Amino acid sequence: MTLPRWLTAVGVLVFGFMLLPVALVVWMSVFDSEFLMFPPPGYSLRWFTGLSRERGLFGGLQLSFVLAVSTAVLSTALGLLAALGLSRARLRWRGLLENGLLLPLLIPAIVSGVAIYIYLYQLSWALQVRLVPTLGALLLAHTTITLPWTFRLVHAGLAGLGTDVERASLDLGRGPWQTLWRVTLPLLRPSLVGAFVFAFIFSFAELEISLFLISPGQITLPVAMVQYAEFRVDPTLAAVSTVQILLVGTLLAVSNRFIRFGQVLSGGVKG
Amino acid sequence: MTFDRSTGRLLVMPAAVITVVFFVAPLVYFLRFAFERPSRTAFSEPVFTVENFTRLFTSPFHVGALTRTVVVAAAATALALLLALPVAYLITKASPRRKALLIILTVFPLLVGNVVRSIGWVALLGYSGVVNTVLTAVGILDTPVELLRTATTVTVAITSVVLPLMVLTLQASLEAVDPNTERAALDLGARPLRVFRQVVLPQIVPGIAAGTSLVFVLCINAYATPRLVGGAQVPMLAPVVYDTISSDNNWPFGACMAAVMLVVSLAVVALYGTLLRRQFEGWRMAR
Amino acid sequence: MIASFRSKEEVDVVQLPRRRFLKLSGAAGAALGLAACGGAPPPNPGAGGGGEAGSVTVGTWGGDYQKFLQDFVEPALARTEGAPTVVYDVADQVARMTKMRTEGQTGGPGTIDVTALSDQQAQEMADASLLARIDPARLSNYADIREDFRNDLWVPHIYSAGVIIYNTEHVNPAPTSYEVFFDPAYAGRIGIMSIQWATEYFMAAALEAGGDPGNDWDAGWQRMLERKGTVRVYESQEQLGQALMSGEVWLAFNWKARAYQWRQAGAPLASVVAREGTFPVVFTLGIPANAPDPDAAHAYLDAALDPEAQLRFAENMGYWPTVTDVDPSPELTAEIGFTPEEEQRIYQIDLGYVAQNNERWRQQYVEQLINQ
Repeated sequence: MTLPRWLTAVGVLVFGFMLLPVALVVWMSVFDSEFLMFPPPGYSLRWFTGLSRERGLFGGLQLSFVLAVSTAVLSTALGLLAALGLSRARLRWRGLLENGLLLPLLIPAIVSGVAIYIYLYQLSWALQVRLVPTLGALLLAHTTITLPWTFRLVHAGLAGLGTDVERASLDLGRGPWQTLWRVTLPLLRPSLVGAFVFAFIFSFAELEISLFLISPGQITLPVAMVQYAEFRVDPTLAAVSTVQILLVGTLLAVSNRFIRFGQVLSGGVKG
Repeated sequence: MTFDRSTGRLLVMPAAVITVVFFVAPLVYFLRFAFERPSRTAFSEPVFTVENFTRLFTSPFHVGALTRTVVVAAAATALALLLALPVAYLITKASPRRKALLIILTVFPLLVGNVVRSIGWVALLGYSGVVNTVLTAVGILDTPVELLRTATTVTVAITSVVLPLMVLTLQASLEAVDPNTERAALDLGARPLRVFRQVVLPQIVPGIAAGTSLVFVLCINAYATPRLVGGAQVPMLAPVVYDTISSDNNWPFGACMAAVMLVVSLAVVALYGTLLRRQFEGWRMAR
Repeated sequence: MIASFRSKEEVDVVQLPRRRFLKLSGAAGAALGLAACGGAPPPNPGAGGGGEAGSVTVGTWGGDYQKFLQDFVEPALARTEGAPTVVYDVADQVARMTKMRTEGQTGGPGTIDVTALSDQQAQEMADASLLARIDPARLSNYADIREDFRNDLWVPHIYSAGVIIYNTEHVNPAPTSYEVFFDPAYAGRIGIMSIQWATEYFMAAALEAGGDPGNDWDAGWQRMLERKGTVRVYESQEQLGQALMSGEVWLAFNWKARAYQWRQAGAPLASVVAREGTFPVVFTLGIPANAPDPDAAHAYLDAALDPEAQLRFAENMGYWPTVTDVDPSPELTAEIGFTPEEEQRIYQIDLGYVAQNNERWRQQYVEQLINQ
């Protein structure tokens, strides 16, 4: 089936609009000027070479990366378990649970961040165990706010899979756990990868919750960037973003060799 | 394959517990302040009162911020839907190889954090930004105009943030549409646009409902974009709530606004879902 | 009003919210799930128990401010005997204040030893009994602090004062009075910030009074309202700086240090102390009332007053030293300092008065002046 030409044109335009921020950031990162002016007086890579001196941004990049990977692992695992439970067992309150897991999307993250902080702080005091600020609380809070995405993706994936294949495997004499391990999970791989990617991205870019939960001596990249911007407007931030885009872009491209993203992120957000 | 109930419960348990501990409990604890009185030395003075709500609904500034937030969110959602439909359709029809590329490109903008993205918008639309520079250079404008700090710009900026999510949702929905129904209609000589409207669209209504609800809620709750692109001249609720809590140390009033936002989000999504479902049934009947 | 270190009775008093909290949250189940995330950090029972021995946690801005603390204050700290290691808790000022209030209002253990705040905000924290008194006897550099900046609630770290910042290419003749901010010729070319309102109230009140406005900063409010539509509003120092550098606006009332920073980036800007006079902004370092390690905190405060550290901060950040035992070059003095004649027009302000009115001013400013 051939597509009308105007449709392709519209698609290209919308993609342009969507990718505009990315293009601008990469462009600005090579401006040879202390502040952002158009057209730039020249081009230079000095903001990239200068990055190594920015301890805050550099440390932020490291912590954010580790945090995003841990969050993605944990969030995908919890999302998978919950999706299995809700789609393969006849639970009471199913609708409530399914919608309940999406709740964290309903409140501005800046408000949840403050609320989580004061609640956990008071709880620490009541229990005499420090809960905030700790790395553990930061990780679990990131997990909680990425859970709606991972859960939805895997849940939709499981729904799309149907139960026929599993039934066939059971009929052939495999036990339920073996079926899960040998049949369901391999088939679910695209959804799981998709969930991982989403959790990783959202954790990596998360600003508002981290603001209150980072511990002394630690800083995530988005927080470091906001702080940097309090004192300077040079293209350093664009440079560090470009590094981030390249880093994650490479990861996506490499993983695309093993698993086609064509199937991965769909279904994700399916009703 | 089915698990028995106790296994099922065990599987859901970790996710449920973490959501309760790290979200529901803090939220309930926080929203309770909405019915209490502000205090200089504590989060709140524990007396039951509804005066925060009275203040909110009698203050033109806050009612204005609430209305503006809902209108901007609705407009951004509609715009995102309009822009995402053709893109999602294109992705669906692409070859597997190209499809992977297009999807990666769709995900890319999510990698640019809100802070840098907003700096980008300022660079683009600011006084000495790309648009003003180009328009004055070619003589369309005499002096640069204010493109930032308007509700329209905020709407466009928010749209660009949520657009990738809308595209992915719609694409998922479109993948499930049986291509044969479309082909049949085309073979019968119907024009492509009409086929899309009468054959494809009705089949993806659930996907549209899910996508728009999700995106609407995200728009209502947007914080960084309204703050950095619109600023205080275009007050929207999330920044106002945060300022009330942190700058004024007025937790009860902040909690009150947050509660109203939550109720508005839920109400709009529920009402809209119902309407759309009714419409959807209508469509099905008509076929 | 101001609490020093917590006494026994006070500890009993603060138990109350704790019980109330447990009752309210019904947190028994929640507690189970949380035991896991306590993990590495040690339990922190009660005030004063917490921080690791030999370390000082400094709550501060990140970016350049943190970098300069590391580069200039830490070497001075390292020279003291038994110097603590330094850990930075980085956040913007508002988030830092929210954390301090949360810790203080709960009565729980503190997490930071030193808190960096502007003087107006430090006063707000002191009024809420969230700052401990400092002990001058423990600061070897205390005697060198400028007399008018001495205080036992915080040490002044750096300071500057509000000046008229103007674009030399467009604002002619050079302004001398705040009247320039109301000159129709510059309507639409004046920048203000939504996050900094006290400066604007002072400016309008000083113009109204023709000099020191004393404790009547509301006097200029009617004038302020006339500015609606003639000012452009920015969300941060960074956005305002960008606008001044690009020529979007030509005039602003801001700290002289900021003018210096922006001029360093190559913008055609100059600054002047208005003839009506101005007021100083002091960025302070204080010790929270519940600081885990007040000893280490005092050592850090002392290091921040070290003349070498003060001078390096001035050169790099554009704020002026608060101690008298430094000898800046005449060039640097002209760029960021104030002549004795200008110093005469820098009035000390009643911080308590400002802190008391701040919330009302902010709302009025945001809701009536900025909101369109």
